[in-house]
Amino acid sequence: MQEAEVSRFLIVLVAACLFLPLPAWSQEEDHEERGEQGDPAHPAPQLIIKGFTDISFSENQDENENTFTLGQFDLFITSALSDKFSFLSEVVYRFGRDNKASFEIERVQVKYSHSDQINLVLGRMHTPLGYWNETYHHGAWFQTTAFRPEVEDSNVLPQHEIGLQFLGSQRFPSLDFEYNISIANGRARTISENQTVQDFNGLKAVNILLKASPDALPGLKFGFNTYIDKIPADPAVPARNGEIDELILGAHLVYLSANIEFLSEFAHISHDDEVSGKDFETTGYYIQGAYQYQKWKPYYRFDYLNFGDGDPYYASILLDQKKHTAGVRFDPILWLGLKIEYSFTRPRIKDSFSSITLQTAFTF
Amino acid sequence: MERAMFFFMCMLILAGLPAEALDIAVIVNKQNPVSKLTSMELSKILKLEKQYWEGGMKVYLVLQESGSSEKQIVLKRVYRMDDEGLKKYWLGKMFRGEISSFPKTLGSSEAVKRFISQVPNAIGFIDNSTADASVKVLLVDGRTPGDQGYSLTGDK
Repeated sequence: MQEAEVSRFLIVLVAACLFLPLPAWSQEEDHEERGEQGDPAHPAPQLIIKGFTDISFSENQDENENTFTLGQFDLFITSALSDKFSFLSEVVYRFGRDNKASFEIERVQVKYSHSDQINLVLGRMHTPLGYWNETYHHGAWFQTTAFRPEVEDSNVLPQHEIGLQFLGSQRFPSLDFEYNISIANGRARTISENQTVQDFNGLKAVNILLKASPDALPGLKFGFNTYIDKIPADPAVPARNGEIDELILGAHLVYLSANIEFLSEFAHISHDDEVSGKDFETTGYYIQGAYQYQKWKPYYRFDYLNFGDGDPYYASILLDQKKHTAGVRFDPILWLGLKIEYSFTRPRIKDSFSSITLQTAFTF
Repeated sequence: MERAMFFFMCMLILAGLPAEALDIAVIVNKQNPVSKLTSMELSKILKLEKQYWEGGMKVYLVLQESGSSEKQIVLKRVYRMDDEGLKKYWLGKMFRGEISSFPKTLGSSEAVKRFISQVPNAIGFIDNSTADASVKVLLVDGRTPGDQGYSLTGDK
């Protein structure tokens, strides 16, 4: 099985290399001859493929040995089918801590754009929870830090969904307003499982995200989201032999300028468990700041994660913690970033530990 | 010696002269009913935050190549970022599914003008001295290129 996955990985890698002469930024240097073939207003669809990956070296007091690590290998494909229809796909190969390869179609979506106000997306998508999940997600090169915030990792939040999204933006006199309403299969029986083909309880998850960007402070964005789902029962686990009502309330506040990056997100997850009759409340947030000085970008982030005690859905990841992360990112060239990052984690039920990571993240 | 002094003086005078000004004209196809934009509307269209004209046509943005004086002025006055920052910006929009590719880029003001004259939904920016009746020059904040206070002005 592992060999088959590696073979598939190599096939896709070779396919990616074949497309490399047409990287996305080559369009930036496009010349007029290309646009004037046929109808310049409606060129034939072009497949654009991009890749993201990262390689790290980490020393972590909480783990056995220092190690080199290959991060996620992310192939990202887009194509404009017409003025109104577009296609996007994202395929990720990754290796687990057991060194076994796995492969996942992270996103496959077709988008219909009627106007700035009305857009419809169908497929497997990033759940519109706030800021990080849609903005960075798999592309470590995009994000300033080496790793995601804790609340954005390990499926604490439902990071992907299969279904429909309605989204758009509207200009008002003193602000821009954006909305995203999604109806999707929702969470599966366990946090690591996906309902890509079959929804186990037929009840759809609904998420509403509202965002605003006031003119008074360009670069400032804030928003709120509400996610409602009924998590299906997992008959294989006695404690999960009933459904869980899930309610997620989220908020984010982001400020970005040429030099300043300030990110903050908050999520409160309520699980109403049918089996135990208990409510489990989980809270997570992060606050991150960075300052760009030429090619250097020092940064700091504080993470907080507090699970509801005994929450059966989070049984495999229950680790309350506070974490401080500080580092510096250096970009010798535009498409490659080098990061050195120190973190200090204070779990509630374990000894504190620290780690240091050197990472190179790039896009190709 | 006198010739060297003369050459040196000429260089000093030339260095003190102001650089030649370049006015950027924002142009659209003559069929496009839009004739004026505010600075904010222009910024949203050039950043593809607004992707549809009021009549429902999709905005077809045409940029000029990196390093051109026209692009440098627009980067400074509209995008407020450098060329690398703009490339990163486009890639981020692609990743979020907001656009499918980087905007089209042409090599000169003449090429941009010729393209826009053929494409009803296109918008671009050119050296105002190359503008002619084949395209429509938009008013920006009620001003035309060359007016006192016109925002898209810089050095050649």
